[in-house]
Amino acid sequence: MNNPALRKTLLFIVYTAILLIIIGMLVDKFKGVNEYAYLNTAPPSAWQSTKSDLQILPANFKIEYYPPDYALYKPVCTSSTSNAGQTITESVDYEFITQVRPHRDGSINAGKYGSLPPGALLINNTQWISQAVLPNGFLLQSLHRSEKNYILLLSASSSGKSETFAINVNQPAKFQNRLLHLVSFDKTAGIVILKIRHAPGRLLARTGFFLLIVCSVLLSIAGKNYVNAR
Amino acid sequence: MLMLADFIMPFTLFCSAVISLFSGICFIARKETFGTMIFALSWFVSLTVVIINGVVSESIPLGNMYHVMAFIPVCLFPLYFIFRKKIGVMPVSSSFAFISTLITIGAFFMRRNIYWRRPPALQSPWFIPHVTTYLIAYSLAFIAFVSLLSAISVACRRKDPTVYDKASFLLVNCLFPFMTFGLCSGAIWADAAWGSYWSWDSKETWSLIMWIFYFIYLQIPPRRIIIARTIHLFAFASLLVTFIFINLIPRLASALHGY
Repeated sequence: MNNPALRKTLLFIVYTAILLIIIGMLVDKFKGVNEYAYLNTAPPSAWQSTKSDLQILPANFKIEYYPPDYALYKPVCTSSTSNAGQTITESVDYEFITQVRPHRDGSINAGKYGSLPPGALLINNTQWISQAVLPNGFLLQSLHRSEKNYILLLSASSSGKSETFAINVNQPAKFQNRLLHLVSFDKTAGIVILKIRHAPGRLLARTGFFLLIVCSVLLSIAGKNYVNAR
Repeated sequence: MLMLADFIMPFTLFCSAVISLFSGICFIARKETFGTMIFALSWFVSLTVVIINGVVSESIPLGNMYHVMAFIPVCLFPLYFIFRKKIGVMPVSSSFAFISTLITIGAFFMRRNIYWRRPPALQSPWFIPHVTTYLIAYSLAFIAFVSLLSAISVACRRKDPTVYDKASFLLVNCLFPFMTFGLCSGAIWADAAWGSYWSWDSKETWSLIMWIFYFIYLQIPPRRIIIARTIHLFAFASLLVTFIFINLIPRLASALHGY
């Protein structure tokens, strides 16, 4: 592999791959179509493309959540006394200790602070409860539940044809040479953001990326002998 | 779980830093076999940290700065094993252990968000190859930088720095395909997730700058060694921006890469 001609050829392919990526991106930009659809999920509203007869109707939007984590609090009694030495007010405050993650069966083990058996935090295997008390009086309070995935069920129709798809963030759907990407979800407005895209340069760009990866590996192999030549 | 997260994990992280530091000292004391054994032990301890992170977060633990900094020492020992014969110069081979110590100490001071959950955008088969290849590239880049510093210091003392320059080139040559794969897989992933290859997000921009610097460095002929070293310095500086500063300095924060 210690061949300057081979190294030059590989470098030429690297430059060609970079050029292919740029051309692919430019073809997408100038020959392709990029449209954004802002879809209301409740009540569902249809979206009509301004550049074609494509129509999209969201059927169902679902957010998958992870089980919640719980904040563990220690009860702290506070009291104030009068001048005569008598207790006049007493209240219970809670002091944050740590964050604890429950098990999938609804049990929780907070180490030395105590534990709860399976099903204690999960009702009917579906609903996580917001507050629970450990046997020693320590309080568990559910924290914000993290989102795991967005799943949108939609029907797309164009040129008299109609199809139904379930898409999520990393799985776009393909419909009549168009890609339907679920880009994001605006929680405050309840709007799903879709990107509708016709990308004629996609194959070029992907070929460029593939060539770039392969050539960088080959260049590295060729370069091992180039080290000794230095 | 609480025991794992609050007590065992920080303790294991601390042990990993101490053991790898000790192995580095053994390398300096020219006790290479013993140093290698200690370094292997520190690798097992680092691997335990990564496994604990995975158990606690119930996911592949590559989601935040703490996770990735805990993962780099796991990459370093196998890389040391691959390169120790090829490099064979003491400051560079001992640097594997010292870099491991430094990164583990860094991980200790990161916000240990161990209850991290993988958000919707990261639910992709590209996630693991994209992050791990970059981390392997970064690990090699740290060692290559030590080699560069050794070359500069030896050259300043008017001795022959060729062996260090060669080691530096060899390491960058090996990290380059990993970096290229990381860059390209990121673009392909973004295309699948958001419908565009590139968003000129701060992390993407700096990773491209870093890739260009390393690419240029590999093309510089041996007779222009001063230029090569300068480009290598710039490349490593851009790596620090991409890997560390963008995640730690709010003004540089990346919207698409901040988890």
